[in-house]
Amino acid sequence: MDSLVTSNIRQRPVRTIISVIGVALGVALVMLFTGLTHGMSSDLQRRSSNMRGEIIFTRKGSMNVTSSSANLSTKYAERLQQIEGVESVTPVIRYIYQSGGIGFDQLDGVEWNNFAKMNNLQMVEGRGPQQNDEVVIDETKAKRNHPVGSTLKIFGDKLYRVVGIYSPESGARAKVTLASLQETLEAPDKCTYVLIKTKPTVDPVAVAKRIDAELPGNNVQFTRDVFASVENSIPSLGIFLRVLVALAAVVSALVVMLAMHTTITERTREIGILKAMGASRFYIISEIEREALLISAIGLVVGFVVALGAGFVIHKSTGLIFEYGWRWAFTAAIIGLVGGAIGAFYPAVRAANLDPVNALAYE
Amino acid sequence: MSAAVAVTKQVAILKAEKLEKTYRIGKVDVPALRGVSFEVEAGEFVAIMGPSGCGKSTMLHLLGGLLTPTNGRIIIDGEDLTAASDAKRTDIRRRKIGFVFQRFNLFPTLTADGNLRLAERIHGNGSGDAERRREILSMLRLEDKMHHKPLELSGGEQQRVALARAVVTQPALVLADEPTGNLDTENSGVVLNMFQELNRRFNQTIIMITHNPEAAAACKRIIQMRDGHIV
Repeated sequence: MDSLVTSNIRQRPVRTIISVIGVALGVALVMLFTGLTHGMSSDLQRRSSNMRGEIIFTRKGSMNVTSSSANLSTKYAERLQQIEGVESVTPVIRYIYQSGGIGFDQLDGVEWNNFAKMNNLQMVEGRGPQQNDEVVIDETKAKRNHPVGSTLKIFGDKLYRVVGIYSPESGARAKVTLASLQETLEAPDKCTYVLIKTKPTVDPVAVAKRIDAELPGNNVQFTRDVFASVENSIPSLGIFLRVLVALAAVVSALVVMLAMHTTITERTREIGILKAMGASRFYIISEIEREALLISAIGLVVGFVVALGAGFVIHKSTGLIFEYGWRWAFTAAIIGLVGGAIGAFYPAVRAANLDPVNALAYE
Repeated sequence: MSAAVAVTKQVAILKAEKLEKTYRIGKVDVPALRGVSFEVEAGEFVAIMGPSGCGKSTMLHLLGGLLTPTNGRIIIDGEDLTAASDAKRTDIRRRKIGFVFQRFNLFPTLTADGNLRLAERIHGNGSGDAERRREILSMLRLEDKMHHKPLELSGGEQQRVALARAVVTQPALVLADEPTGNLDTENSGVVLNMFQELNRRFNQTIIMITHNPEAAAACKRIIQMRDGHIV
């Protein structure tokens, strides 16, 4: 195909590459941010779904996505066990800390045997934690160079010895004994929540209502709700993502606009020739828009490839999980294409409005 | 003279009536054309000659609808160019006029063939008239040059491609602005021969601006201009 559109793209490689990078940057940013948000959210939900206890009993304000506290007496466990319809209970401390890499990490303090039995956790290798400096981890964490016998730094430079690897993943990827975390946090006889498993024949909703009636003033929630989507749990995350998307669109549009503006200036004489040949304003605008759309489409593909590649590299080096959805991929595609088209529109109109005689005389 | 030729001669493809063009430079009005009238009949090959600054280029731009006159009328193939809107003038130019420039003005990123196809696309005849295209390329001896880009061609070859581009859409009128101005004597001769051949074989009406008497001599009629007038 020997058209002005494709020949200009081929013959002006620097301009083309810069424009493609601009569009790709916007697309990759959208894909990476939304992919990370979805990936982390899905990961959290997946791990939570493996918890067999249906009900979580907490004090108000004891746990959210980025922080937690051990402010619930473990004595509640004994009282909860007495309530009709409850099969088993186990107290847990959920400790959330800023990890050495990007984001947050979680650590559970559990009574291992109770917790493992309730949630059907099996040891793949080694044994459960017994001492205060012992930790068990799930298979995902173990794959990141943490075999049994290795050590993990959890509280600054405090070393924990990996004594076992369990499956399936459930809650925090690392678990120590409840006593260990109580000692470290100086919270004896305290926990963050009590996980409650109901009897198979009983409706968990009825049990939750009964708990709320017998122990008022506390939080009784269903596990599936507590570990719901991160996007819904972090206030304004949706707004942040939309602002990010808008910024990506602006970046794409600006880069394309600047590149096309420069190109139009370089090609003033060619625009004059087109006009002399009888090309209408619509024809000139559509030629420039087609060029911008083709550049944007290339940028789109590059952006997707970069997002996938960067997501893979970041996952390998930090463990962060990326999950790309069609909805955001479609949004990113629209951003790339519409941003490019809008960015090219002003230069295109400017070109179409050039005076043909002046354009032909342009040096 | 046969009756058929006599009839053909009577068809005016171009009428310029009392054309005036005044440029405003700062606060000063500078007249470039001062009431020029003439007619060109179908199949004529006309040279417009005159010294620099006599209004030749302004005249060509007016005839091509690239400029609008301050006063006067231009009728091309029955359509009033001066009464038309900018879009309509563009449309008339697309359908009825082919340009050939001194500096060739080919698209450097396109091959010779690409330049011709672009003209056909703009004209609205996507695949073009294959027979006419073959005939023109053969006449201009360009068959083996069609896949070359302008920078891979000599000046004479580039101007022949520009000529092919101007006539491939069968315009009623070809306007040539100093088409031999950038060529050496040998290539000038070749290109002028091509103009004559096009005029003869396709009855193509051509108006050529030149200040070169040898180039003007290749035309059937010469219009002399001086100080914005026809003399």
